[in-house]
Amino acid sequence: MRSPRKTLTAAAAGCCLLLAGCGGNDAAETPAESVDRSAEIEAAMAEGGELTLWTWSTKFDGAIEAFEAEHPNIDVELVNSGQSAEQYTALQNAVSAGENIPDLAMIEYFALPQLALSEQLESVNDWGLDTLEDQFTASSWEQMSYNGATYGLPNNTGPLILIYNQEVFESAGAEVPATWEEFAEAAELIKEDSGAHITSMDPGDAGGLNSLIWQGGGRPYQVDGESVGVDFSDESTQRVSGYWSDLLADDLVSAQPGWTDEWWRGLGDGSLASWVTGAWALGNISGTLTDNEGDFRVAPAPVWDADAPENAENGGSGFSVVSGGENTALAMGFLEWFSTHEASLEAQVAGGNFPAQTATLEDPEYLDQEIEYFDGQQANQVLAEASGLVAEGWHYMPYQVYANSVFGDSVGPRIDAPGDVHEGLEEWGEELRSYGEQQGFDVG
Amino acid sequence: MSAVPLDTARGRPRRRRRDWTGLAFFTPFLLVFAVGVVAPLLYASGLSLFRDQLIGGRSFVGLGNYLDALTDPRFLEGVSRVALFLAVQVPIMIGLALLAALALDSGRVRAMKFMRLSIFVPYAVPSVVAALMWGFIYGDQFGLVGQFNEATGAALASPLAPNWVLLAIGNVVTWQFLGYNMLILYAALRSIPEELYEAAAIDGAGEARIAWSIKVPALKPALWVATLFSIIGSFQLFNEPNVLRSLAPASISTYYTPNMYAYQLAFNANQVTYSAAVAVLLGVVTVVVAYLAQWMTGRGARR
Amino acid sequence: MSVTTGPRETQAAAAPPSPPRRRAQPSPGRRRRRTQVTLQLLMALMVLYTLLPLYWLTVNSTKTNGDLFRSNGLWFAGEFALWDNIVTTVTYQDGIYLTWLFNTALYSVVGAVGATLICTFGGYALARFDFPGKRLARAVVFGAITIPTTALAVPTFLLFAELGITDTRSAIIIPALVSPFGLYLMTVFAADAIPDSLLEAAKIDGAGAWTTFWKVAFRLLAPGFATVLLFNLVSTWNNYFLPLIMLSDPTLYPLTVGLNQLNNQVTTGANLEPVYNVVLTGSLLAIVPLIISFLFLQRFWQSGLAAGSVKQ
Repeated sequence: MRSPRKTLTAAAAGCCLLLAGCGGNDAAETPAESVDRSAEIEAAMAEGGELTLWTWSTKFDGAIEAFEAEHPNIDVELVNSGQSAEQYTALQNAVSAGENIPDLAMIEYFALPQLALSEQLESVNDWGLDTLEDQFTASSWEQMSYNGATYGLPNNTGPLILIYNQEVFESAGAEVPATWEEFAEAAELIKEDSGAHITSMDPGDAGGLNSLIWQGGGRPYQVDGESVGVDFSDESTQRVSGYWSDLLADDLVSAQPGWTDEWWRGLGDGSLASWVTGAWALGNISGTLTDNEGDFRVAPAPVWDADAPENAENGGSGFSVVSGGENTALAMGFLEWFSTHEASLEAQVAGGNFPAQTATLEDPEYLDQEIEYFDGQQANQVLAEASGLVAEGWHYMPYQVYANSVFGDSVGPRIDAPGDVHEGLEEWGEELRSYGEQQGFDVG
Repeated sequence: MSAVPLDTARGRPRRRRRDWTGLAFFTPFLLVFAVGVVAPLLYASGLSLFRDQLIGGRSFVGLGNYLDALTDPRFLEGVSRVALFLAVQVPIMIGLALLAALALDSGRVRAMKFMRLSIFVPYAVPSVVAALMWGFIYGDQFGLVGQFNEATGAALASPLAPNWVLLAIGNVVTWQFLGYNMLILYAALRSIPEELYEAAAIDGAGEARIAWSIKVPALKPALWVATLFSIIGSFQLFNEPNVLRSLAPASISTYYTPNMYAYQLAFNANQVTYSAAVAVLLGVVTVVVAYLAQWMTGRGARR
Repeated sequence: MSVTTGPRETQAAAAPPSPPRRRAQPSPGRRRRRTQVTLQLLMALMVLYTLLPLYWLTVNSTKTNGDLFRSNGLWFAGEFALWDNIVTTVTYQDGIYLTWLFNTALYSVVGAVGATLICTFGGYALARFDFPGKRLARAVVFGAITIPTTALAVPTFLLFAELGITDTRSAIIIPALVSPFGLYLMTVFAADAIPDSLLEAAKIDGAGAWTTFWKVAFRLLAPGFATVLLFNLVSTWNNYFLPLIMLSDPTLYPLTVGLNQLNNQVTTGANLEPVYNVVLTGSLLAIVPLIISFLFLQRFWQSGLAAGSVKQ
């Protein structure tokens, strides 16, 4: 009889196993005050030491080398702890176990509220880095913030763009579409001409559809402290879901999951004519489809209203200092240098990163660069313009990591079948509301 | 009765006294068993009586998680899916393995050693690698399926489409374990006493009859072991669907199998305690099904 | 079944079909030939089925990434890049693949040898001794054979997280040391292979229990030991679920987790360089060691499998 009771006590005592019990009840509702601790940071930088940084991206090796060259007394170790959700799980485990906690981690915007709520990240307001706000795009800064404090510094963004296969469009006599209406027309022309799909919609990618909804004016997620709202029923969201339902139903858009061998081959041989994606994708396509040099061009993503164009972001991430790390001051010092220093930004851009820093986005040298892969197109101009059009007021939910993980369960089959995407969204929303209630949120 | 020591009563050698030597040899196993099986199960059972919330923390809910799981359509869907898988894949695989074993045993197949080994080799391939490989092959545009369609003008559906994906997974599992089961059955065939065949030959039984009325009955214990492991394997189903999910997000849900659901709950949904309840229930279901199967075959044997 | 031990059965397996069975065929020659052709065809189809994916993997491990996207999956592409791919694989990300290979080998060898030794002690004890609580222990442990190891994985993770030993090598090795099925096999082996008279003789010679075990019992148990060892080796080598949830430090990953992570990275575009060639070549390299050990240890395998199934 003794052992079961012992187990129970142990279970009850070992409360903070994962996020449990560490809820953000005390999260600041009012804007956090900035605390100047630059002296402390400088002292830590002078003393030096070792830092561990978690990222699954390989775009930052150059910037780290530049940092180490300038700070020979500081060692930065890059660790790949899995991509996206896998890394957040690992981070959660490390923070709750209190062991192997990295000093810094790359955090995607959609995951930030969840990690901030569960107190895994340090606020930069506590270290005076919030004064750097004007060096980043407004929307990226907003996305690094949660309930009045900012949890790290933005790094890269993904304003929506269209990467299209010049030859396929030309052969079909299709203009580069400026609006979604023109995009649908082009889709028909292309289908008639070569049988190709104009693009594919990934049944497992919540981020892609989220960004399309954002761009169409929908704001399905509302967050205010501990109350959250999920509502896909507004007109703007329905317009987006209805539009894509129709394209899928007419077989003008395929439902292939992205990033697979099949999907890359489709892009490579023209059976997928374009890709609606974030600005970060330029490096991915040029690095993967090396045989297709010169085939692709970059254009702004189609918009709903050509007279009042609004854009949105697909993905994007920042870097945050993790709570419970051994040397927070040093990590903050690194974060500032890494996110704002010219040498770092230069190396990151060279590594294929699309920056959230306004300095780079306004730098003529960056903008005028002719990119060979896109047949000498000054593609960065398009990207910077797309970035400037990003509409404000978008929020992710404090459990968006979970939300995205179950996207494929409800919306996925409706994209794949194909059926009514909106119906899928309603089901997804239902699931997210009941999950929120179960997790103790006040669901409105 | 009580006055007579049990051992001598049963006529067993008196030498086998109850002493501590045996226990000493058994202790290492007891230790790892306690740490690796008993303690996790007890701890998980304890945890499963609580509930976690992002806001509000942990609270005691008694058997609430179990009651929830028993009416949770996702858990039940996963369980019925692996039950369906078990009912279809296991008989096919065991049937093919039996055919192969009988063919090998007939002594009428050339290059027997090569064939035996070739069929067995996939057992050495980790299921992650097997699923990765088959995932490439399943592609209906550029994979072997697509190439087949293009070459023959056929229109095979993508094996990863929602209606076919369970079969696609079943194929990967069959591929991996066909040879293993074949060898179990083959080895058992080789140990059938020669006299049985001779007797049958004198009776003038044909080859097929010998196979059916002598070989198959003699295989019963081996068939049972193969089936038992296949049942356990079916309930464990995780690796293959988990790997194939990135290729077929719309076909394979996060609760496709009970194990995937337990994983999702613990690592994406912040419902560790509920996940513990699901894992414990899954263990119970497996044990019950395995014993049920044993009981049924046992009854069949007595008849 | 009687006390047939492993190797003897292998001899049986290698023996040619017995003459009486052949002579006794009443069916005419043509029918016999038809049966023979059918059987041969059946087996050929099965071999095709089992070898085709492996052939596919081998062929595609010889291609560059560019060729992989262009060429026919069933035949070689223009450039034969197997060696380049191997070099890329083992040097990728500062040689992380070799770290994974080392980890897999470490987990497998320590886990499997440890588990098999423990099973040998345990099986010897269950088969040859009486001790307090033996019947209960036997019932519980053999009952545990049916508990799926992956159903145990989440509970084990929860416990280890509480103890603070997740993300360590012990977190993978400790669970690998438990093998109820191995214990069952060793118990069967020990009951069959060790004659009482030998143990008795050792006792009369005044040998202690420990010496008797190593000098007498262990030698007789060697074939069983090899069988259970191979069993455990395969299961730890292929282990995926447990390390997936236990480990977050990539330098501790075994091959299975590492390869799938690599594949996920290709499929999520986190890397600028696509590494399909590393995934494929890495997969090929991961299965070669096991296949080779299978080839060399065939006789143990086959006898062991028989022992597990026949002796009920």
